[in-house]
Amino acid sequence: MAVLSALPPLAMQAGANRVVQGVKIEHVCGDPSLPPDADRALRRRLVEQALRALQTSVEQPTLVQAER
Amino acid sequence: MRLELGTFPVTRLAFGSRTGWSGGQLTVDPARLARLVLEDSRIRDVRVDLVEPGEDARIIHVRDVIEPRVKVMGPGHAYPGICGHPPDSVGEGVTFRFSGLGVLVASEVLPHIRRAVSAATDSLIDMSGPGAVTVYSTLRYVVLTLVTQPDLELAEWNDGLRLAGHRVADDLASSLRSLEPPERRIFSLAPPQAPLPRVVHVHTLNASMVPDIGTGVYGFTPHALAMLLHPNEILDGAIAGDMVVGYPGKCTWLHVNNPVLTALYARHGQDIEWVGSIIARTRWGALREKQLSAYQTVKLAQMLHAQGALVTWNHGGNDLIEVMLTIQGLEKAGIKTAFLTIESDIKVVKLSRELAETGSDEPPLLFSVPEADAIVSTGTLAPGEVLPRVSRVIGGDSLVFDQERPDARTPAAGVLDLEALSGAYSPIFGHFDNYGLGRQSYYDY
Repeated sequence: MAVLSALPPLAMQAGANRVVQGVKIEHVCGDPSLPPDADRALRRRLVEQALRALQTSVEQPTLVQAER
Repeated sequence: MRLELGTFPVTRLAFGSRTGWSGGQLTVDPARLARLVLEDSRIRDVRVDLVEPGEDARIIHVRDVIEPRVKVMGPGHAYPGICGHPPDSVGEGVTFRFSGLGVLVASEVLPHIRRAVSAATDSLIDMSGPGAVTVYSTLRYVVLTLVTQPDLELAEWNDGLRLAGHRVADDLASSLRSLEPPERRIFSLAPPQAPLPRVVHVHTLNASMVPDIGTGVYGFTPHALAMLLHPNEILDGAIAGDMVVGYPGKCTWLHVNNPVLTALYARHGQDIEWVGSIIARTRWGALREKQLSAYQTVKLAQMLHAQGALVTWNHGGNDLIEVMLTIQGLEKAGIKTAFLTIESDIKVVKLSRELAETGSDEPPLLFSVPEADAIVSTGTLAPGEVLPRVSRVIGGDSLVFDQERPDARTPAAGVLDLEALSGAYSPIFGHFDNYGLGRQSYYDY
């Protein structure tokens, strides 16, 4: 399992195995203040990051860092 | 900064043709107050009621409670920065106040605002019986039940209700100007004669994610980085609430009667040196914002050479992240830190009352850090009581307990099984008791 979370410390304390940093509480996976193309690119980057996290083996709750 | 508070205790309320305080009795002219309120065209109708502790009465649709205060000497205006009051720094001079009295604004939330703002919940105060466990059941009230224009937008609705409440509070407090207060007390953070441990109050305050509303500091409501207040500013009303949010942690009366201020003033010069209150806003949307707010708060405490910190908060939910990060930072900086808190895990409370009461493997706080090792609880949020029928209801006729189902209305005068009717939070105003003013924690433990 991987969790895309606005608040990784909270997700990790709750025991989520793989945590990916989302944008913010109001909009975790995207940013409505961006132009549509940039928002789409951001959303794709976050989802791909989450998919990469799913393929990462972990021993304990881990923040899987974003690749820029 | 030296503030003298002159206190006029109110032990009886009465209607009469001349507003004034004499020997504990406050006489209120309802026609005068109604005229004042109706000068604002946003208010269509007002009803003035007097309510006393111990009455078989229930006040509903509580929007805020205001303690009337007036500056009789020194700069600024009580409750600065709101309702046309100038934003001059307050906390100096002489202020008169009524004790045991609140101007209570009651008004049912407009349907479009109920839909838009989930925190605009319906709350109630029982003046006697099993629900009368909070400090709000011990006050005397001049209740203004207000009907506004139906199409007001959020900011206008908030402003109209608040202006009505403060106009009435200002008018009542002004009647004290020429009188001699029965009690006087001087507040100043005079340097102690011998060095004492330096203690800072980290006064974290929710900032609403909805613009224009929420707890204001000199009327300023947006998220902002930490600032330092002298406690006298708070005693003069620098922190004031809105008329929207139903959570009592933003109540205007509460902030000038915050027992944390009283307790720290009692200890100042005795065994601590109180260096002031850092205001840190909470409920930032992004983790980086929460971190920055916490780190700057810690830095400010270090620059004040604090050796100890008392951390409080006035809300619940994700605000706890930055509060805990602040506690962690303070402890890591060598500042011994205590945290005063409600037990806020709504999941536990909602799943089952037994879980909430018997304990479980669920944490009582949504989030914690190992450094938070000195915590004082003020009780849970669990709505446990069954409230009996009452003979008098002020503020409206019926209540909505589920914001998602505004058409499901419960008659306010009847028996209210709060556990069955309400969600995670008790609708009793003040049950969400961040500063430990009520008696309800004795019932829970």
